[in-house]
Amino acid sequence: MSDLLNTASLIVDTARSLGADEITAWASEGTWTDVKQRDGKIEKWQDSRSRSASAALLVNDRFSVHSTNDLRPDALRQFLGRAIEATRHLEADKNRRLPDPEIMGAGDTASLDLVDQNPPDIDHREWVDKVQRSTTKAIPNSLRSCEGFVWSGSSNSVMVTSNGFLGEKATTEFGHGADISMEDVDGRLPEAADWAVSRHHCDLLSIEDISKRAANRAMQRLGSGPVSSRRGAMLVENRVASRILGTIVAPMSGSSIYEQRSCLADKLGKQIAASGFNLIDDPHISRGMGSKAYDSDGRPTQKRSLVEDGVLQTWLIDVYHSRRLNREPTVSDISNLVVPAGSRTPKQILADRDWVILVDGFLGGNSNPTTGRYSFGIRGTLYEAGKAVSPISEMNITGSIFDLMDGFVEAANDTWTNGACRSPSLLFDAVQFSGQ
Amino acid sequence: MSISQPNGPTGAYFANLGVTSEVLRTVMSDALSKGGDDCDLYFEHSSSTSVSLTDGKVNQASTHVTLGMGVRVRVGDQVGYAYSEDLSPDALRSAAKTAAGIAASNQPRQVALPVAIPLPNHYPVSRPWDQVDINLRIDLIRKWEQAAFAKDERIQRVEVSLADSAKVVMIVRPDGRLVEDWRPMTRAHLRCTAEGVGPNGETVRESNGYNVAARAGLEFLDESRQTRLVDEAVHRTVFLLGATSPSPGEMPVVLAAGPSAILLHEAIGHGMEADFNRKRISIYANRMNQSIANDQVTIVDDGTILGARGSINVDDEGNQAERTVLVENGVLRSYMHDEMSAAHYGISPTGSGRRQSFRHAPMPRMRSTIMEAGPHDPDEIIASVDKGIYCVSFANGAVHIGGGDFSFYMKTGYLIENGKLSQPIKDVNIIGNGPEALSRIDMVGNDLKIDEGGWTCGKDGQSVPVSQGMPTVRVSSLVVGGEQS
Repeated sequence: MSDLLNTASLIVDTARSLGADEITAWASEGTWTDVKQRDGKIEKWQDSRSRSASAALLVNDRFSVHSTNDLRPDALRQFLGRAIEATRHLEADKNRRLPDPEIMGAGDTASLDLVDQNPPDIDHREWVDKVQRSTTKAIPNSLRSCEGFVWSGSSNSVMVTSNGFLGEKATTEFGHGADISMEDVDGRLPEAADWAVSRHHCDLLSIEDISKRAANRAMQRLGSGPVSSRRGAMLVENRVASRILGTIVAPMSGSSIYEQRSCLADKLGKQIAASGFNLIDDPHISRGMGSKAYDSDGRPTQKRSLVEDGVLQTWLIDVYHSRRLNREPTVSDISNLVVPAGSRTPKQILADRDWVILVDGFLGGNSNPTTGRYSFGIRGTLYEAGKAVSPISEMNITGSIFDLMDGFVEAANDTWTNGACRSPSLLFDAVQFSGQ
Repeated sequence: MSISQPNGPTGAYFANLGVTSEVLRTVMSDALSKGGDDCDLYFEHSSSTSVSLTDGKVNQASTHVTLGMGVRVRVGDQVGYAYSEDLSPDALRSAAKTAAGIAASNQPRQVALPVAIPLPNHYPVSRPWDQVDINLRIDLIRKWEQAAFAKDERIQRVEVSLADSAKVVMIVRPDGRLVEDWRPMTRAHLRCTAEGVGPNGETVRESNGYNVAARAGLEFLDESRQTRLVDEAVHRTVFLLGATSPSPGEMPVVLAAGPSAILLHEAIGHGMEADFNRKRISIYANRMNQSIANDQVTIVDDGTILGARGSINVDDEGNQAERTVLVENGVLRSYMHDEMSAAHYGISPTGSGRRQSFRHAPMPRMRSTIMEAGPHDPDEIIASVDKGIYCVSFANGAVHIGGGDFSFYMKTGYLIENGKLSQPIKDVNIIGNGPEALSRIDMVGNDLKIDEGGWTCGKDGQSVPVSQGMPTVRVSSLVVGGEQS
């Protein structure tokens, strides 16, 4: 970490000596090993070690951002010199000035427990072999090909500002999973994947469990197709719920609000979802994949309710846009996006419905943050009265995010922890499906 | 701050950074010290500059520089990969020895002293960005902003960015081949937000935009292209104000010439990248020389189109780009090959081995994917549909390679009723299955158009610039997203 601190401090000092008035410097490094094995044979082994630095500069109230991985001192000095010269030609924007040091602070990264201090000795070859063979064994028939993948790594980063902020963050990460191709009777080769990731090796879902999950997914993909267009209930599986939640979070950003590209610009304090829906930004989850003690403005993070009982509580406003909007800043970027768990299992929820599509994957599609319209390709399984009736593919869901969220019924109790979006499966009513 | 086009002998650019022929041979020898069928060293120095306008001010600029070397050792279908961001001989050798770990032989391979190979130039540049004053960039941006506001009073906000980049790459192979390529890029993007009266008399706000991109310098942004950039951005935004959602379900889809080639890219292109076929996981595996489409359909992937965003003089394994015929009159003729898949199939690579940067191993990728013109007049194609939709512009697409399902997101289009374009429509996803969609292309227009937009293709965590083009096409049936009114 001290090398990174030296690099970041060198950037601040050099940029200041070359004429920059205010500087934010970041330096980061990472070390990773990624291994893939397909059908019994190592397919790819990659060792990565990277380092880079970036700087945000304010020169006579002109603003620019720069990054480089060419950290040779002479090259860095030349790079910053050209960057500062180019910045002088821009128009002034005083809103870009650094935050007041009084509202800055690095928080307590150590308490987030993001580094596995005692990971086991990892033999990646043995690890990936176990994942791939275990998954292959869990698929009784129709398997075309199975790829197991494992990765481990660590990263460190430092942020320094010319007005005295210093923040440091270190993380470790471990992950494994499988990609499976099946042989369908009509010649199609539908694929499925599952994976797990954690900050500490001991928290990683077991190989047996991940293999079983991946295999079950693959088996469910056989014989899929569209059913007739209609409105109906949709249970979005926990691990893909981020796709839906992302359509609500994107228009919350300060830039969307300021540039009038947000369907939430006039919704603060208003109902945007059914009353049972809650959404939280929680940066302080121990070992969380999105946990952070400070944001990109160098401000300490805090747990924050975004939507409470369906009412929009706040926008995501960084310091720059807070000045443009003449509002208090909240946070510059999301950390762990949390939907509180409900009380029932997905199976119990599915059993309650005469007709419901369990969506376990999205294929393409997009949303329009200005209007709140969305349209996504989906795949999953149609359930009728709790029974899986047919695997679904080649269908879309389309509508307004406000109608979708108004149709929110309940959250299941199966919170997904393998990522920064920690949502359980979510049930919505009256979703427009298009198919045959 | 773009990197200037090297004007010295091939190889001199990185030799000036200390990577001499002797260093190259030593590093290559280390990479093949445990044997291995093949190896490539990929050196890269890139820089990019972007200047942008928001809220009426040209008030943000950014620059990025990347320098490094990636080394790949291949043993059959197995790959060892490592990279270094430090070009000192010791750091390069360390990366090479790491990548060599994939091989297990005690017999090191002999390597030749590198010899430079000349390349064609598919992207000549007359006004390189490293010779353009930043104030000229600022003037252009302001001019476009003002033109957009003047074009339509419903425009409320305008955001503009003008970006350029240049990359010098050098690829070295064990047989001594050394190639060097300078890859420029220009991209301009204009985004508008408009407010106006919606289809039901309500006040509506919408955002949309247009962008143009090419492997070119400032000359790419001639007056006609600048005018089109502004006109299209404004038109595509205000168009949305009066647009609605179509009814959902299966229906005939007519795809307008140009950007509709996103259909080719998703439904067909990815499935014909040979790595998926080598692994037997593409829906097009084992379909070579079989009829997979109507005989009006001929599809090529071409890396040699003058100035196209997807063009490359040489791929990232050191093989010259070419025009590869994928589908000829409906018959599958070739996949897109990198070295590994070509060796697997016992044929020559097609110059399709590409990578995002030195941090990534190459794999088969598209360049410019194009459907050749067919026999039909575009108006005849529209007139042939009683009830369906006509797609004009798109945002993004996706595909499942094995199952063959693909989708693309239509941003703007029209309903077709009784053979005529009627109500404007917007924001729906369209989904289908690749081989089925190919077989349902039953009319191909005579109006081939290569899109000028800045498309970027993502695969396995790597992004590369691509182009695409297509004439007007009718697909007899696809599943269209939409809402019952």
